[in-house]
Amino acid sequence: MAKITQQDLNSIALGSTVLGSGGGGDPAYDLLMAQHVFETYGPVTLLSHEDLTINHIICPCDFMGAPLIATEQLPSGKEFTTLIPLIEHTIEKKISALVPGEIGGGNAFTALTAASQLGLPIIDGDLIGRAFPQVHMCAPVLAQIPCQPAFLADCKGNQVVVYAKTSEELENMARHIAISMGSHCALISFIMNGLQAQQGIVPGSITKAYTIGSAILQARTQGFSCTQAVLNCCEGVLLAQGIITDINQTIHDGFLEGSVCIETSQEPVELVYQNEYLLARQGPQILATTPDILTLLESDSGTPITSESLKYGLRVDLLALAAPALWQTSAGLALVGPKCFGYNTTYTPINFARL
Amino acid sequence: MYTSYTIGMDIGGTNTDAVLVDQKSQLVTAVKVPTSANITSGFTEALQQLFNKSIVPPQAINALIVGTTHATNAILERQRLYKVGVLRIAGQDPLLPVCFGWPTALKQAIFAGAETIPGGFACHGKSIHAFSEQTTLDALEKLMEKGAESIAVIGVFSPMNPDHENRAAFLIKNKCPVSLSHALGSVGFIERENTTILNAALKKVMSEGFADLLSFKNNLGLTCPLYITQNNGSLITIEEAISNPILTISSGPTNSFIGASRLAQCQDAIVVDIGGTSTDIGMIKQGFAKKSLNTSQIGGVKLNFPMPDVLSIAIGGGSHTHLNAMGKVMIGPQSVGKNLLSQSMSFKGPHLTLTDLALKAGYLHIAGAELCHIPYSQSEAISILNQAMQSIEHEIKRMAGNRHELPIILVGGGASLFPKTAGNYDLIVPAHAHVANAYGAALAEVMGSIDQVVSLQARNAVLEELQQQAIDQAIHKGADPSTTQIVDIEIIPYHYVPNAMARVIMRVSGKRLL
Repeated sequence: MAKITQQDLNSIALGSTVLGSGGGGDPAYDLLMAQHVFETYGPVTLLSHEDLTINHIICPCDFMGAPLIATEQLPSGKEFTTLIPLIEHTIEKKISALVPGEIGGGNAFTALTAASQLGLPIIDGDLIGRAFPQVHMCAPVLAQIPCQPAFLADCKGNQVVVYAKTSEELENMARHIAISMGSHCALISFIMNGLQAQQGIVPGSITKAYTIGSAILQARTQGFSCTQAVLNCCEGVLLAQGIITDINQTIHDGFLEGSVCIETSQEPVELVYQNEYLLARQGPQILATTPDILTLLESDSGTPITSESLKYGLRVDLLALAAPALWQTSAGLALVGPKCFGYNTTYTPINFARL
Repeated sequence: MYTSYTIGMDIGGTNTDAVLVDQKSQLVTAVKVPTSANITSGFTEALQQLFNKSIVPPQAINALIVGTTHATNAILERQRLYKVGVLRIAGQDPLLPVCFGWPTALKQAIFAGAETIPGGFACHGKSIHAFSEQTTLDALEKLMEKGAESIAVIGVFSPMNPDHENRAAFLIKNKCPVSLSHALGSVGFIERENTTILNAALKKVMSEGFADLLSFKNNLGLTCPLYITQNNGSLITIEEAISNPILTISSGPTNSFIGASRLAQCQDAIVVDIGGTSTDIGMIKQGFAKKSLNTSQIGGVKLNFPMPDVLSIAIGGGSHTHLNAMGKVMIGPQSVGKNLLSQSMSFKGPHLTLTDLALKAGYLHIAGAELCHIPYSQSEAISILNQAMQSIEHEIKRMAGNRHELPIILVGGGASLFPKTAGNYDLIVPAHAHVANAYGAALAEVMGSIDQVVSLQARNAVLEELQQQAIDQAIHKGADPSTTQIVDIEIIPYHYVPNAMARVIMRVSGKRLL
């Protein structure tokens, strides 16, 4: 797959939702916009991180804020096309490629759409390898790549440049700016060169999303189990099969928090989430935690269910997919492990022997 | 005694069914007449037959409630639709063009052009751009130059604040029919826009059709109000249906599921509606049709209506049945449809249908049928019918999941094709099963629905207030206050937005006040 074409987009949408671990938003509108842009501007060249040199300057692209806002106040499509010239002027370098900031959910398409419009290549990777709720929960922070200057833009054409000392401060400031921009805006931060990208990018994410999505689509048409198809192409385990019988949900500090009860043939399984699904337990036993990717698939269709679209009575399969290697290190766990989300437990990688 | 009867009607593509229902919801009389291309022909015929068959005079009818597939068919057939001009009140032009992803033929039949003007609101209802009357008039002129006969107006977050849409309508309504998005759908700009465009296109054919129903009803001496059922199975006034015809699409399955559950007196059940060409399977939970989780579609266009969860399979009473080259029995998807009595083998027709096999099996008796033409023995016929039932059972299992305890109700013209026990299931075939959809229409309730983005900081107080609003709306539309109940509540939080903003969807339903 040296190029991403319009025909690949449906698979990427499905796969990115699986990798979103319940977060990142439903990519339906992002997919429509990408289809429109690819129809108009054509396919995008895909670069491997191995192709990169110190001379490549790479922009990670994201929308931040409430994905649901963007289903009403639609992006203008000029957010990134006007930011790139501003960035080139500010840092006095030519941008050579874009990369998705977050492969999980709708942001899988943000960089792809901008790359098609701008005629830039895209790097097969992203900054996270899944979805996480905060700007500083990304690979460049582990690789000590500076987040500044960061650039934000809204659909009306407003632009802001932020020089933040730390990524936590960027997260805090960007959130306030996003709210004043109508709770949805474009963000480019952690601009890096090709050498930094060797550490700062989780490699292969776009191909992985495409592979997972294609496997689900193929299983659907051939009448095979979509869950098995996903497990055939990822390192992962099936944790539970059952029916959603209860959903508890609150909004806390702008995050969607809650838990969902899945009734199984054995003891019920509780899946806890804060935007993303973060922890699954069965009675006293913890089945899996962040940073492993917890994914709910609707049993028949293999449609991934995001935390916003949980419904009573849904028949689901709960899967845990192995986290990208960088998050399984002690430095990674200090940033995105269960304790970072307030769960007093330690991370145990998904263990095939346990099931 | 007077005004104590209700007439329910289902105007389908093949047949128009009508039922007379008394105050205790008992079915008194039922009739079935063929539908022709004109929506009104079957309507008058069915009503006349209904009055001929019963002693109830027209003055004793308190309401006539009609469900029809006419709007759906008009879209699918692309007949007599208006050319629509689309006015987006959105400030800057959104990246996504109007009618993106539509089937080309439908877009060509409907779409005249689009203009974007300043205006619209943020999710909390504050204006994001000022609205300009002059810009609106200029845009209207451009749209009419492009051939627009009907205007669809869609404003950003108009369900939160309809002010700009209303102001645009005030400028347009004397020049052109106008459809406003906030009256038709909720948050989700593209689906709401699609819905508004289809509504604008349907205004000609449906307004005429519904206006005709109203005058034909009056000509028959019926002075009662005329209601139309909408997609969620509740009723709307004929005036509302004339201005928002898109609301009437796809009420058929809901009516049939609800009718079936009431005929069988089951509050929770799986309903299997076997027609001539296909079988629809749905679920009734606490007396209401289970909603679909998927985006609803009509003619390949995504809409944001709550639709019932329906599994369909191309097996019905008229389905062709033949052996393939491997010697395997193939059932459907071709069907003799409404020509059952001339095209099937029992009536000297060329096609072997499932109805022929049910006759041979002895499950069914139709006067004039000649079983000698059927090339199978009774036991072979039973085995083929079992195969058809297995396909239907597969879909029943998908719908029911692990709720094995649910009773299964068979309705529709093909309900008598199968024996009362099939596989591991006990099947209920209630009396009047063949007119379940008309009966469902007669029982249609009045619904109040709220779909708003609100701050849930004072959560309980806000939810209570919304619930009261929904109840008041249902009562205002004619619900009996003592019967209102909440059908469902859905809360979809907006993250990253201050003040705990969330979209709250709430539906309240009540019986029609007689």
